[in-house]
Amino acid sequence: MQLSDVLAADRISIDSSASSKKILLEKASKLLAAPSDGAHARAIFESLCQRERLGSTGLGHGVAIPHGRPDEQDEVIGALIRLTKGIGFDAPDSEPVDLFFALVVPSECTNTHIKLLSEIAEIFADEERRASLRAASTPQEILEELSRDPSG
Amino acid sequence: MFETEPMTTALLFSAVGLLLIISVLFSRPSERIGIPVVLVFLVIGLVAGAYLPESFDDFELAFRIGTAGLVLILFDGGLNTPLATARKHLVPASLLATLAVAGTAVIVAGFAWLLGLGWIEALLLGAIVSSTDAAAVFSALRGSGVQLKQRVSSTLELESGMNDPMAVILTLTLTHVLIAGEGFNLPAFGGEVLLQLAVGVLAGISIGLLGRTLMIRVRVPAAGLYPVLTVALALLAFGLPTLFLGSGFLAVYLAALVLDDQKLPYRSGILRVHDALAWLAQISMFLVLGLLAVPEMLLQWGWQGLLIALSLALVARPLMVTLCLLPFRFSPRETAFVSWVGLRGAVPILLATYPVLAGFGAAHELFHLVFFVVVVNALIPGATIRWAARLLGMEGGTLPRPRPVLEINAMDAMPVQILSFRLEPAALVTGQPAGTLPMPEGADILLIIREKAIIPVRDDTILQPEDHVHVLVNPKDKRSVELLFGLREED
Repeated sequence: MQLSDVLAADRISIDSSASSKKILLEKASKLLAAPSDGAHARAIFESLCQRERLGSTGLGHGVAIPHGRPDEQDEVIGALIRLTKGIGFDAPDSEPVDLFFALVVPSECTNTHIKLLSEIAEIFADEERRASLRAASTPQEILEELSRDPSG
Repeated sequence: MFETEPMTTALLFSAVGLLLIISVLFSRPSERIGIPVVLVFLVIGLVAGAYLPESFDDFELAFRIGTAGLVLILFDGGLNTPLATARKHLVPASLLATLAVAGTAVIVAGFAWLLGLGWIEALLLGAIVSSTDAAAVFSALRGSGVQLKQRVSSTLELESGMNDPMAVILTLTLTHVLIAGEGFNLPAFGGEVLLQLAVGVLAGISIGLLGRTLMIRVRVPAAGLYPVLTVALALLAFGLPTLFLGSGFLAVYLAALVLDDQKLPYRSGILRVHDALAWLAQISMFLVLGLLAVPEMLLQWGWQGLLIALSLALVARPLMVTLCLLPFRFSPRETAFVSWVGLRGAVPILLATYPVLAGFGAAHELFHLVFFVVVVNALIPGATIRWAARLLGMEGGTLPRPRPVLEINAMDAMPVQILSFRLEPAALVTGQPAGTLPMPEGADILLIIREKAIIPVRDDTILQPEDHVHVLVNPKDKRSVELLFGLREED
């Protein structure tokens, strides 16, 4: 499974704004849920919050990967949010976070889903790729950056 | 029959042993009802004092025990404050620890003077009660399962570690000035305070750095000797700067802050020893201070004491905290919470013994007034701290770290780390077979503890909620492993 399979241009929100962790997670839930499915969005929001309660999904360097396993979720969906101004996310380096890859996986998730998360973490750990994600001016550029094979 | 040795010593030891046991046993119920546990120790001392055949009034011994206790408590506090968080919140905490302390002292002195105290007593009182108590704040919070926002808890923690020295400096210097009758010279006084702080900072950081190098370089034959080294460093960090007119208390806290390092040999053992010493120090100092007080003299302060105590909690602290935090973009709720959690503890009572020792006329009355103010200012915020945290939205949104059921300690620092997690349904790995997880290179699940038994890890072992999982990991991959496993247990 590729990153490009779970992310689509209409779930990438650049130059977005949020004033708190809660508002950010609500935004992410709306992007991840099926269009105008309020109940689905609420379930996703709950699951993201539950995961944050175990410890922040912030990785440091201004990036975070909020993720959840809502009940009755049957496919993997990702969304990317880039804020114009970072917010406090209790990251290990206490720096504000402005780049989020939100991910929901089926509650009966598999190894493949977990690999996806590790893959995102790897991309986010790369200073150059973080910079190009921050510099991208359209969702399309973000998609291209994410699907770029760094070795090639 | 108890006149001769070893009988006197035996009697003393039995009494101390009994008091310690009672204090330890009472800590649990106090945690449950939200009274700071230190206050319970104080009351036990107070009650025990009433039953002594003759009253205990050895202020000098109390001062010594109190100083030793405070040194150990501050050292432990410094060890438990991560240097990185300390750096981040240093500026607001320093302002709170200096400016706010001085301001609080003056405002409380003003109220006390209005309520009929002489201005000398009023100033002394203000200085004595001006610092907050770290131990009281955090013991009150810990029992509740409330995890505070990091910014708020770090600021409070740093503040309380660094503001005791300021209150000590103010009180000792004021006492000297007043006793010597030299009249009050503000520039000279300010100069002395600055000198004390500067020497304290310099000595603390140097001793911490030297100590760290010593600990990492030198090999000693037994693990038990390392804590002896750290205790020695704590004593030196207090003693040396104090001899050179610096603040020993500030130096002790800073030395421990700088000393702690992941590379220290037998680090978790050292931390555990200092944790125990800090507890022992707290219990001893509060018991002794409780023993010193005479209940009737406490009650004589009545409404006057209560008004002074309330002026501290409701006027002086909120005003100074608001002023000092103004430049730092703290939200009004955060400021309000920091203002409210100004728990007082052992330091004021310890400081109040100093004028007695110096032979200041009304010192005994002052001691009891301070005692009264401290009790009110520990009881009210202490009992309401959870409620305040909830009301003001100060809960950090993360679960408190559970205690591990198994600890793995290494004598020498190792290039790899062992992290322990408690699995929750929301963690990604929960429900997965152990063998197929996409782990970083060199990372692996070492063992799983399920229902108090260690179970062997096979590739097809399914990770279940409430499992305690120990994971071997290279420090650089720590974050990605935390991302997969979720809730870390206490180190």
